[in-house]
Amino acid sequence: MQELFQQVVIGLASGSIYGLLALALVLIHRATGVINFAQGEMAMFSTYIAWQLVQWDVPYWLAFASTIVISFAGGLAIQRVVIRPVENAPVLTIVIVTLGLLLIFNGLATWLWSGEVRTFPPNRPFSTRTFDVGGVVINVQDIGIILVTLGLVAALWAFFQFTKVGLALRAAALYPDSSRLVGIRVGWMLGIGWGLAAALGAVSGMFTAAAFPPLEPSMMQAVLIYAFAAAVLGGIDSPFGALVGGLALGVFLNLVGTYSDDLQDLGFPVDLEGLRLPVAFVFILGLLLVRPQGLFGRVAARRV
Amino acid sequence: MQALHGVSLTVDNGEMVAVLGANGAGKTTTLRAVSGTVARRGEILFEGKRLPRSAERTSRLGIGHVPEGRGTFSELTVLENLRLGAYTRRNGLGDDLDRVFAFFPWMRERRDQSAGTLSGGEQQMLALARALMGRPRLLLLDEPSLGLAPIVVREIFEIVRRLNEQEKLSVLVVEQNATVALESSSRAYVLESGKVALEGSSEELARNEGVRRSYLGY
Repeated sequence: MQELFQQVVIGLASGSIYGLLALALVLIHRATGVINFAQGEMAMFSTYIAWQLVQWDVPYWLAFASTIVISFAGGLAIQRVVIRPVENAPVLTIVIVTLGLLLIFNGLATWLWSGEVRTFPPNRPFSTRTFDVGGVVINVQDIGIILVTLGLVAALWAFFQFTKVGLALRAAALYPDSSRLVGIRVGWMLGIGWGLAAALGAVSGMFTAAAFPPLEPSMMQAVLIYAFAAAVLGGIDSPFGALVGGLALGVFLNLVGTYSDDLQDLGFPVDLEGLRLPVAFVFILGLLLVRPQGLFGRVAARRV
Repeated sequence: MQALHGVSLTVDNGEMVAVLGANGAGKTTTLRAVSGTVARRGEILFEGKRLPRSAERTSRLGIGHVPEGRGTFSELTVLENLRLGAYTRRNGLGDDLDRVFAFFPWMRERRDQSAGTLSGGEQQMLALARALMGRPRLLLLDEPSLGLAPIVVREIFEIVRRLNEQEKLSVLVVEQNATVALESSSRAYVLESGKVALEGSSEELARNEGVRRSYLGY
């Protein structure tokens, strides 16, 4: 039982990382109806920026915060410069542009910082200590990642719910025509959406480097797939669903890995540990057959 | 595709003007040309200045457009719809809400209801209220009667007439329902195939035999 709790906490920590990137995907999908395939590589690039800052002797948490700000500006700039010209193009065109961005960021990171495998941060951002809650051993880093994620998501929710710009962002994403009529600069709102997505991705990337070292140009590729799965699981248009989907996926994957030996002892024919990803996808596929809109998605209704 | 051909019309300060016409005559396009939501040639002056070709900037100049189909932010609440109407303004939100609630008392109690669950008439009123939140000096109304029961149509036009008479709000209203449009406006234009076919005072047009036969149905 104690091991179960322990593994759930570890799963929630990696689930937070998937959830943050899933949230980034959802923000852009809501605004533009497109999956940003470059989201993972943008996050990886942001993480290298943080690494570079720390190399220049900036304290880790200051570098962390600066990277969020830089990534926001970068995401906004990408939308204004790269995405805006193809805004009214067919969805497939925009998808191809994001695939191009993926390659550009991957190449750029390798060129600027070499493909060399690195440890980042050099000293762990959270203490490596563990503490004991009624026999359950909990890692400070796991708790730290979960709390920072929940804090960020709560702040983001409050921003969308209670501020004028947040309201305008929601309106512009769903109703661009009516938004223009009330004077909202829809193009800039989409830019801010990309900025927020890039900032969330940056946090996800920095946590990935800390929790699943090393830091390398390909480190976010698997995370992007998990994040995509989490977003679909939660309902691709639901920010809340993305977070819950990420957490659920993290816990599920971790438990499958932990208990695969026991399952084998009970006579299960294959070792699921190495098959965690396919197992998760079979599970999600099954769920989507029953609930095509995901856990918290809206049923798409189109008037004809 | 070009929908309008050399349409020229004026709305005097504090005047309520109606545009009549059949489906596809160019009524909606006329309003969209003014608010900058459709590409246009030619010149449109507002208070002596040329209007920009961008909807975002046009609305900031004091032109409120209640679009065809109401443009409800249906997933947002009634209050959020109203707040968005005042998006370009910095202060006075509370006063404007009180003013709007005075016209539409039901909105006060139902401000947290999701706007998509309102009836058609209520959504039309909300669209009007949203436009008023921007404190426009010219109100563009696109077929406010569409799909609504006659009693609701009366109610909406009554409120628009009060705004026009008491607050000297200039109104340009496009309508298929010629009876109610001619009753509440002082002047009117009749559009046919993207051109102005007739213009005159609303009383005059209501007596015009062609208008009577085509649009008033008697």
